[in-house]
Order: sequence, then structure tokens, then C-alpha cells
Amino acid sequence: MKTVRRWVQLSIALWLFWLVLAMPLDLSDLFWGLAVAGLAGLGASFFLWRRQAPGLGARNLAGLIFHVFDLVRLIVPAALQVARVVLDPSLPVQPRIIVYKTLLRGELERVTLANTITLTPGTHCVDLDGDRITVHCLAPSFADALVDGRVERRILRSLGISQADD
Amino acid sequence: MLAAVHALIVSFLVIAGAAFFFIGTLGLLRFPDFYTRVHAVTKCDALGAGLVLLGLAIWSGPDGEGVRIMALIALLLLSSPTAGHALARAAFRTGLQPWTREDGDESD
Amino acid sequence: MTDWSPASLFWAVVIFLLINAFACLWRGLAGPTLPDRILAVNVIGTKTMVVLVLLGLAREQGIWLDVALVYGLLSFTVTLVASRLLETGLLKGAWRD
Repeated sequence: MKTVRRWVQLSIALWLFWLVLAMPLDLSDLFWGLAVAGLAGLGASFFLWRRQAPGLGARNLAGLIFHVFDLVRLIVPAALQVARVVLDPSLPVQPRIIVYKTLLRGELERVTLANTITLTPGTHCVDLDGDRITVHCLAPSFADALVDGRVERRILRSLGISQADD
Repeated sequence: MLAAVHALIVSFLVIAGAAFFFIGTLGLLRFPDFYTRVHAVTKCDALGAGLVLLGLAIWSGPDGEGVRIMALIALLLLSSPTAGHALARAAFRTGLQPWTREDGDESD
Repeated sequence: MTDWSPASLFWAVVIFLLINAFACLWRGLAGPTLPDRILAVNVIGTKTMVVLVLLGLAREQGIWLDVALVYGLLSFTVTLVASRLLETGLLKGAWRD
């Protein structure tokens, strides 16, 4: 039963979230948390991911966590670059919209790519529609790393996916 | 001695975070159009809040409060780019045109 | 120096962030477009969340942290719902005037 499996998965995830929030834990926290998480998961499992589960394997999950740490490292130069632009009295921006066709196949990889684009210096993802990604960049040169495929290869590597073909 | 170093690290993180918040505010006020403002806000605000909260998590230590503040940081790092996407996409799909520099100097 | 604690710094940062939040409020009032206003509200929400955590630690009351967590979740939801409302056409073209 797919719904039952979804319910169990959701409830466990919600329960873990509860345990973090209720941090000085005692026994009643464990029990009530499980009860509330089970109820909320039951409600949510009827309308979340009805059409298609996000298809997250254990290996992807580990890669995703690694990727989040990668993003934390990326956001520092991105913020510093914005700081340089903002603090410059002449405000040197040349905004451009670039439409980029991605080679990535799955939904998970595409969403990860969009997040990475947003957190790299000077680019911000505006729209994601199928394989077309619309990117707003502060100056045309910021999109170079994206257009020559460096960003995509990096995501594939950190998610542990081998791209079969295109 | 250790307490002083501890306090120094916390103060540094909190002040650095506040500085990034200030840059985010400045970007929100100075940039010419919505899309460029989103740039400033998603990056600087996420980093600023992350730094301040990291300092506070270190200050209150790992028992209890610190873990919950780390959960708050995780929530923030996930929600900030997501909110930026949703908003930028809504603006783009309803037809808001991005600002471009008028005197068409194409070389960058 | 050794018994100096960052708690006094927290108050200063709270005031600094509040001044920032009011500066962002100007963008919310001035617009000129609807997404700008939503963005300003989102930014003020983030600042408020951090201010709540700072206040909780400066006054050593744990309950503020719970308020901050709920506030953060709600502020994120508000931005999502507002942009969804804008995108699905209920407010289409509302920034033109």
C-alpha cells in the first residue's frame, strides 16, 4: 500500500522534527510527539505527493546533505559579491535574463540546480519549467560558470548520480 | 581565558551577521528593480541570519537551546532561497519586466 | 574583560536590527510594485525572527525561541501564499497603477 508507506515515512520525519524542537526530552515528549506526528502524517499523506513520490534513495539523501554543506560554503562568496556591488557608489549592475536548457533529468536534480544557481554569486533562478531554467544575473559574466556546465557537473558529482546519456 | 575567547567568537559572529543584514537592507533600498533586490535579499539575509544564529547557538551551548537554534538555521537556509524563487517566479510569470541599463553599453 | 558577556551586545544588535526593519518598511510602503512589497515583508519577517531569538537569550527566557520558530515558519508560509496568489492570477497586473 503506497498510502500506508507514505504515512509511515511522513510520520517518522515529523516525529524527528518534533524531537528536535522539544529538545530537553523526557518520556512524555516521545509519546505525545509520536501521537501528534502520526495524526498529522495521516492527514498529510492523503494529499502530499499523490501523483509521484519524490524518489529519494538513501544514497541521494546522503548526497543531498553533503550538497547542503556545499551550499553553505557557496553562500559566503555570493553575499560578499553582493556586498561589493551594493557598497559601490555607482552601483555597477548590468542585469540580464538568460534562458538555459539543462541536461539534468530528474525533478530532484533540477530543483537542486535551481537552488545552487540562486546561491552562487550574481545569479538568481527566476523560473523552472521542464528543462528550461530562466536565470536573472547581475552582469552577463556571472552566468559563465553555469553556461559551460560546471555547475551541473558539480551537482551530479555531489548527488552521486551517474548521468547515463542525454 | 576560555570564556573570553568564547565571548569573542560569539561577538564576532553576531556583529558579522548584523553587518550582512545591513547590506541586505541597503540592497533592498538601493537596487533599481525587483529582481536585483531579490539577489541582495536572498543571499545577504540568509547569511546574516545564519551567522547571528550560529553565534547564539555557540553562546548557549549544545544542551537544549543550541540544538533548537541550529534547527532554526536549517529552516532558514531552506526557506530563504525557496521564498525568493516563489516570489521571483510569480513576478516573472505575471509579466514584470526586468530593469536594464538604458544607455546600451553592451560590453561588460 | 573576562567577566564581560555578550548579552549587552545582544541588546545593541536588537536595536540595530529594528532600525534596519524600519528602513525595509519604507520599501514596503513605497513599492513601487507588489512583489517589492511582499519581499519587504519577507525581509522584515526574517529580521523579526532573529530579534526574537536575541531577546530570548538576552532575557534568558526559553519561550521566546518557540515563538521565533513558529514565527519563522509562518513568515515563510505567508511569502509562499502571497506569491502563489499573485501567480495564479487573482491579483494579475495589480502593480500597474
